[in-house]
Amino acid sequence: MNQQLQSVLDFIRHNENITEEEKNHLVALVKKANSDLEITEFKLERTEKVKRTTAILLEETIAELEQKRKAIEETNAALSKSLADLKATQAQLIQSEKMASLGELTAGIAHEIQNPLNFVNNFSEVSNELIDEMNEEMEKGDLEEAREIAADLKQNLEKINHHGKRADAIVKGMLQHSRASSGQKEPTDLNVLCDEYLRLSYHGLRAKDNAFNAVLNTDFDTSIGKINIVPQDIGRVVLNLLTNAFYAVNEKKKQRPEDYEPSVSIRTKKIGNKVEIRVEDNGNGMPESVKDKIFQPFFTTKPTGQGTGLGLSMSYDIVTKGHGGTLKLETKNGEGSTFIVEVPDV
Amino acid sequence: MKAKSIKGKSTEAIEAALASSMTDGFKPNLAIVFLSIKQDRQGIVDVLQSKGIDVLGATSSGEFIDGHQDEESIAILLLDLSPKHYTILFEDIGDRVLQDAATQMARDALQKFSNPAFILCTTSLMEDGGILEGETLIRSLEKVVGPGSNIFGGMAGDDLSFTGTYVFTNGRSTKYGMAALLLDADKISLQGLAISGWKPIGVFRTVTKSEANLIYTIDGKPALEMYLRFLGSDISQANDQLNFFESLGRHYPFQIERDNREPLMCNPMGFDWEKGALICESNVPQGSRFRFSMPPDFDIKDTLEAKARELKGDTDADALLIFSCVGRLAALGPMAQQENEALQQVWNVPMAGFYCYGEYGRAVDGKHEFHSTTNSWVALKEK
Ligand SMILES: Nc1ncnc2c1ncn2[C@@H]1O[C@H](COP(=O)(O)OP(=O)(O)OP(=O)(O)O)[C@@H](O)[C@H]1O
Ligand SMILES: [Mg+2]
Repeated sequence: MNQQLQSVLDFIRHNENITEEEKNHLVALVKKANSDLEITEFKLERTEKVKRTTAILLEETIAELEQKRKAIEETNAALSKSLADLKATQAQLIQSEKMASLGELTAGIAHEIQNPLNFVNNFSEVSNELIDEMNEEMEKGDLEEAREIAADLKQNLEKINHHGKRADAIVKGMLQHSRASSGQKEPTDLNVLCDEYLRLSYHGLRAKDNAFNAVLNTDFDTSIGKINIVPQDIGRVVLNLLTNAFYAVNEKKKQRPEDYEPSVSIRTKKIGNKVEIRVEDNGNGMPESVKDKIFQPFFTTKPTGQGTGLGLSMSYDIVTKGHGGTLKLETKNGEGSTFIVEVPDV
Repeated sequence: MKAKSIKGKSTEAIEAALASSMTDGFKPNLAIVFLSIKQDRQGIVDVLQSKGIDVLGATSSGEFIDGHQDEESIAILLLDLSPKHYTILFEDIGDRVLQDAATQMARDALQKFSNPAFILCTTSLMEDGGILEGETLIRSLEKVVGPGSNIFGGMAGDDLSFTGTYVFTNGRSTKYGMAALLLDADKISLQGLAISGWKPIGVFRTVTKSEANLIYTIDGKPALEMYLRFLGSDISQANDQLNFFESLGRHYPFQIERDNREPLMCNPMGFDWEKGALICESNVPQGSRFRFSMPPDFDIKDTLEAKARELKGDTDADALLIFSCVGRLAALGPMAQQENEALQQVWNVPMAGFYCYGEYGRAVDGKHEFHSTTNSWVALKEK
């Protein structure tokens, strides 16, 4: 018992001026006070102890969490590195995809160059003969006739030059396609670009499979004029959409050789301050399950080894991120698809 | 059922208290005895037996009855109960595995009553320094008598001397076994609850290496070192075992996660300095998730009291038994007794109890479990 309280207790017990009843009452009160004191003392002591322990425990926990945070940070750094590596790999893949699509184009390009080359060859042979004729006329002294032949010659040379330039443009275009995109927007004739890729891709496919035939429809809005785009990039988008469309109609033709006429259209249209490119096919379209995934990188339904599944995801990025436009799809399973590119004309 | 509680610090004192309890014509035939290992167990049993009284007994680590708490003493709940409604069961485990002894006891129980209820006292300390697997024991009993059965009780103590704990009945006593007062639950109703109040603190941790009741590593770090460091202990010697338990182990148990059940409280009992391991009171499987915990708030008494009142409703009882963890005595000091007194006042019937090394009882979720750190009480009433 507390010493002071004990003294009080002794005092009460030995005091003769208080009645027995009062004594008992007082003794009980003192005892109660003592027990309350003991409890309070205990509480105080335990509070101190628990406080100390809690502080240490929390400190240690914090130290431990700090360690875990560091570990997470390190993991994070490692992950960032892997991500960067992955991005580099992806960039390489995209480059190889470009080269692959160039391969697909080669046949079309060859076909396209063949035409001007034929002209160049024919006209240069004819011109060669015309020069002989002209020489004869000059020896005869018929200058009038010689002048006429010279005029024809000039025309021929102009034609040769025209077709030479055409071949030059095709080769330049091909080089441009394989080069990494400059990323620079420049005034571009969209209709010419679409027309060129339509022919290149169609002939490309026909060169591989000459049984293939399709009705090609074009509808170019001439009011578009030149618009500011990155030509290589939009070219790649158009090429991707067309390649997909041809692939789709070709597949359907294989399934139904008799009563099906494949057709692919490309249309351009100016709508307010936007320009729209529609690539439409009457292939098999897509079910919802495929539709949901086509813009994901590496999604493909082509047999393994035949498609990278990068075409649409790259096209999507070019249109949305590169040009602030939209790439939408309308499709009906079994009936065909229309891809709609919309870019602002700024 | 009539009941009285008596106490004393010697056999003679008990003999006198017993005699005086019977002056009003009270004729007990059953005694639930909690006593210090320093008391004369045989002497006490002889006194009771000479009056034709059946005994269920356990050694303890602090004893109490209504209005009184003491150490190294004797506390007894005397009952006058029809012998048709109860029997005493006893199993010395000996060379058997715990499950077998428990199964045997459960079968005997079903033989006697179709709806048996247990007031169960078991020994606690094992030769290897651990504690009897209370969890296994409960599950083994349950398997035979069914999961709904009432099992209340405590694990014997030994005044924290860690020399050995005992349970006993008339003529039988063991250092490794169990004794039960088996009640016919169709005739006697039991209401009770076990509440801990220890609060989890800090993050979840994982036992990364363990073997039976030894924990080697926690989150990959040496367990003993971590426990000591986290609780700011200055224990630095292999022979500080008792100090360890007194100042740390019983204050800061682990709360081990259990599927669909309340967490299991598990006190570290000591350590293996060489192995850097903690010795726990129960087996801790590798991969267990747990949190450190802190002793109850000071208002735990009010919580216990409120829960008891809620459970009581307007029922009443004939007697009250309380099995309070020895850890409560350390963590709550004089408030541990207050808690018991509060429970006694809720029921207002004769009460006896002891500070034990583990409790059996009904968890708040209604399941009967083995506990640690709880105050587990049960009120008995003859229907
Ligand atoms: N016009 C279309 N009709 C039907 N399905 C189409 C059409 N365009 C695209 N798809 C579907 O979308 C998928 C993804 O197209 P994407 O251009 O991204 O990759 P790919 O054509 O499979 O492979 P890659 O372009 O590398 O050759 C195609 O595999 C196909 O299932
Ligand atoms: Mg494609």
